[in-house]
Amino acid sequence: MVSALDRKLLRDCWRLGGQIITIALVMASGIAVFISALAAYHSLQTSQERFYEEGRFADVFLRLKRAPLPVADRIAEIPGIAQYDVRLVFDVIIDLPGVSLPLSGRMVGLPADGRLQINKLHLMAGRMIGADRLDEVLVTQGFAEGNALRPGDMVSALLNGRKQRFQIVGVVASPEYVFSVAPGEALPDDKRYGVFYVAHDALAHAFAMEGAFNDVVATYSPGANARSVEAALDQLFARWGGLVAHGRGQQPSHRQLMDEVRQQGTMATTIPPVFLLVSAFLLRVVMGRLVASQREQIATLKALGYGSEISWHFAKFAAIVVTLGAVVGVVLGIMTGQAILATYRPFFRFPEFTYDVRLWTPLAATALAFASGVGGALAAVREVGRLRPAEAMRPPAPPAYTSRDPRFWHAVPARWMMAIRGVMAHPLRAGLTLGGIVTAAPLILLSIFWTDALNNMIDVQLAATDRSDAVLAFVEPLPPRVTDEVRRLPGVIFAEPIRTTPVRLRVATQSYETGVLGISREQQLRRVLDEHLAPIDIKSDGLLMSRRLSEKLGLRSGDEVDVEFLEGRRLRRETVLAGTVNDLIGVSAYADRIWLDRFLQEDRRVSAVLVRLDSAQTEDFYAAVKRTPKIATVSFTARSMRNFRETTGAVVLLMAGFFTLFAITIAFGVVYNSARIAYHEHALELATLRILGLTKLETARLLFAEIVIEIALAIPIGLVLGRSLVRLLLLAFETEMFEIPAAIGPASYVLTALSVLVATIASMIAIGRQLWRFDLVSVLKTRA
Amino acid sequence: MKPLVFAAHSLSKIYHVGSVEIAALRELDLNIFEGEFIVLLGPSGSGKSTLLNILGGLDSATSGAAAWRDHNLVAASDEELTLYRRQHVGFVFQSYNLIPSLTARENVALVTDIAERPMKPEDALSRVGLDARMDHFPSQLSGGEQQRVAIARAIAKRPDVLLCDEPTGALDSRTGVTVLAALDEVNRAFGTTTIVITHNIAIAAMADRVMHMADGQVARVDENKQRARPEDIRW
Ligand SMILES: Nc1ncnc2c1ncn2[C@@H]1O[C@H](COP(=O)(O)OP(=O)(O)OP(=O)(O)O)[C@@H](O)[C@H]1O
Ligand SMILES: [Mg+2]
Repeated sequence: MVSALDRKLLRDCWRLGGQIITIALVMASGIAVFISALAAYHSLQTSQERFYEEGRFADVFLRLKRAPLPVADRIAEIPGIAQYDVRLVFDVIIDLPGVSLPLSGRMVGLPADGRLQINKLHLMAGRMIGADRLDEVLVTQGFAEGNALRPGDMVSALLNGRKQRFQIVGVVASPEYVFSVAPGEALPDDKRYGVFYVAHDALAHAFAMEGAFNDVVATYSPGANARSVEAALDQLFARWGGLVAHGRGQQPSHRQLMDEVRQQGTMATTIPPVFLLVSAFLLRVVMGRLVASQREQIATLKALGYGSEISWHFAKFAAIVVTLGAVVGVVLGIMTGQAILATYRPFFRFPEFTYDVRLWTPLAATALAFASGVGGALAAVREVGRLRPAEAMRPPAPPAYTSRDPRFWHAVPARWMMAIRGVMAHPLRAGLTLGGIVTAAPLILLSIFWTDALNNMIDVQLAATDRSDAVLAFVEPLPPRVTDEVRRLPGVIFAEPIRTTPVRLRVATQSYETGVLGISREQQLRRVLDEHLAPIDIKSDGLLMSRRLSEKLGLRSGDEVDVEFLEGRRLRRETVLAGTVNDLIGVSAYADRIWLDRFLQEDRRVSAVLVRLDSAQTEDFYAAVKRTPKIATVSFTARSMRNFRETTGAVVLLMAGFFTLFAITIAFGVVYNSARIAYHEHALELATLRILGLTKLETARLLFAEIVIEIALAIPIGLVLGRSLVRLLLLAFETEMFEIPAAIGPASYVLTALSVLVATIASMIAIGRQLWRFDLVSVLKTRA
Repeated sequence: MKPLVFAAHSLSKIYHVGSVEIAALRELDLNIFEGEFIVLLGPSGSGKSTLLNILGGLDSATSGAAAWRDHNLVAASDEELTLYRRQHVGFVFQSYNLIPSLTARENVALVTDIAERPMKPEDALSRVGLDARMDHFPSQLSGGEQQRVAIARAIAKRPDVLLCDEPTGALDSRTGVTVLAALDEVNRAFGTTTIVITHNIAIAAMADRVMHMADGQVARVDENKQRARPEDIRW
């Protein structure tokens, strides 16, 4: 048996359905973001932890030139090392039957018995390499999927200039290459890059590395001191051409994973509060209005002997909104989380990517929703409790209207005075509405600017920086005449050398390993640009740095930097920071090529050559690359850009789409509620005006005047605020390796304003329809 | 013989509540002539308000005919009814329906802003004896004063008809008289056809004719030889 009071509750809910639904949707959006971001966070984390554990992911990594195998025994003597593997690792050109494009691959040699101590492989299909089989290969999952390869298929690799055929026997996943990108690229391209495992001897024979290794990975024993282990490894391998030993923090796959996890954490903690605050605010306004309009009913009920039931009655109203929001939000969140995970799959190659929604996240989300519901409803419910029947029987004290208006207002028609005084008598309410819309606009902008940012990144920044068609990187630095050799390859119109060398930068107690890119002032294909995309004049001495790097090291132009060159004789030099570079992806240092050569006290060397291609001869160029020894990797700029757009672009746009929907929900929720409240508040007055002979259009204009003025004010404020918020958000999302330009195109501003306008117009139509159907007689009878 | 202004023939208004039919007006016939002061009496639920609302263009009938001069009030569209109210009708209700955020003068100006040949708001207010209270908000006025503002608002456009639904219902006898006096004044000065609904039989004395309603019909019409002056009415 439903009590009379509960019947009233149901009828109120039915009557205020539009408002309940919009508030619940705003709340649901916040909860959905919270749950989905945390689900992504936990899924990444869990999958990572499991795989690292199962595969014994290394703690420390070191590349070197060449060390004899017996040296490896000395690794065991370093205190703090638990297990280690030494191996051969080479970047090579891969040739797939039927694919003209030269592909890039990383070849990793497996120990003689095929068993890895650490960074163990997880077999996804097929089998491991047989003992003494020099012609078998394992490929990583991504590459196999990207090129539809199965055990039994053949693949060729260009090993030190000689083409060698391997048979694929298995497909694997490695904790070391969960996220795997070709050297010099930002994003995985499964069609074009993969990691390959072959027998140690297969590589040793091809590269004349018998009895030697060039790569060390190791795990720490419990309580090991990372710094001293790294230092000991450095010292041990310095004379074998060792680069610097580094921890997981600089391991590309791990770093990318951690960045992603952190970003989802940022998402879960920054965005939902905004949504929940907005919904609390809406609830507050709507319930305030509900109580105000039912004062007399409340008084009557109290006079009839009802007590706290009435407060409960209104609390239940809030509970219905929150419950609806929480249920929809949890379902939506779980689904959105799955969608996010699906977009992650091609990027992060775990043997098992498990969807991990922790039970506490929907519980916490629901609790947060209830907290915001309590926040929104408390004032109204307390007001109900405080109302004394006698007092409530009288209509509320009217606001103190004043007629001491400025003179010129006398020219204003009386019906407009009504609207103006309405706003002036309720400045708080008008301000809150304004605030609500002001929040909605930035949220929309925040969602749709991503497309601009992406386009800016690809079309403007990257295109202006790298104007080559392809980049050929060599196994090791070569004499300058290699540029001429490349120039002679078919299809090459123009070729330009660059020099890169690994360095360790030291400032006070901090150090950072990165690469220096040596380019010349006249460089055409690879340029260094400032934030206005103007080429930076490369000073004849000193170092330029990525802005993010200089900030990380706390450096300003003119400050001293200690540079250690990690190749060869490990020279150490003092130099100054000559300026910062506005590059978006990666962290590097830049220097004049001639200056760099002088600094390194060596003959001119070339690490890579950038080329412009004749598009009619690309196939010939591809074929030539496959025949050319010494090329370690080849990348195609346009292809990378396309890949970037298709992969990250798709993810970003999907997320942006979700958010735009959520943001428009907010805009609609706020505007609809404001208009609806204004309508309720003025229903009797509007009816009176209609009786006096005002037309429907005239009354609609009056009703919507307030909201139109508020929108007109709120949109510009919202856009300006939005721009600042975009900057702030990008700062929060900025990682060491990656930065998104705060480029907002005019179209995005227009689109944002339009979305708010459309939300407004939709709300007006929804309410206008009621105005149109106004039953004058019944309004007179009920005196709302 | 004065011209006929309101004519209703066989006028019915049926409400459907669930499966039940409630006839608020059943086949009602009525004639009202220009400048007449009519008082409508009748038990609660007899259809007085319904009739008044239809004559005022606020509501539409279910069947039958009703016209004000050459305006057909039954077949009229919403827009036509709005225009009819705007140009010809003044309303006064038991609840004064003033806009709380507007002063007395501005409440009247609401109508004069849109009317074709209005009085000045000040003149309308002065006619109901409120010269001194023009710039006061409704919350600063007594019930009787508020009702007089409502009358001023209703007459400011020089309406052809003035329709009043229990204008004194919420007022005491003395205050009620001032309101009635204002109505009487307007009726005499401008020849405005006036219909007043009341439960107060005493008021019937000031009418030209008194119509008694029962069961959705005009059951009886009494004609007063002599209209009583409002000041002489007591209850
Ligand atoms: N919206 C409605 N739905 C159903 N019935 C209605 C509606 N409005 C009025 N009625 C019915 O129509 C009849 C006439 O109502 P009306 O308001 O005209 O009476 P009245 O004579 O003005 O009464 P009172 O003197 O009490 O104001 C009543 O029986 C009433 O119940
Ligand atoms: Mg009535």
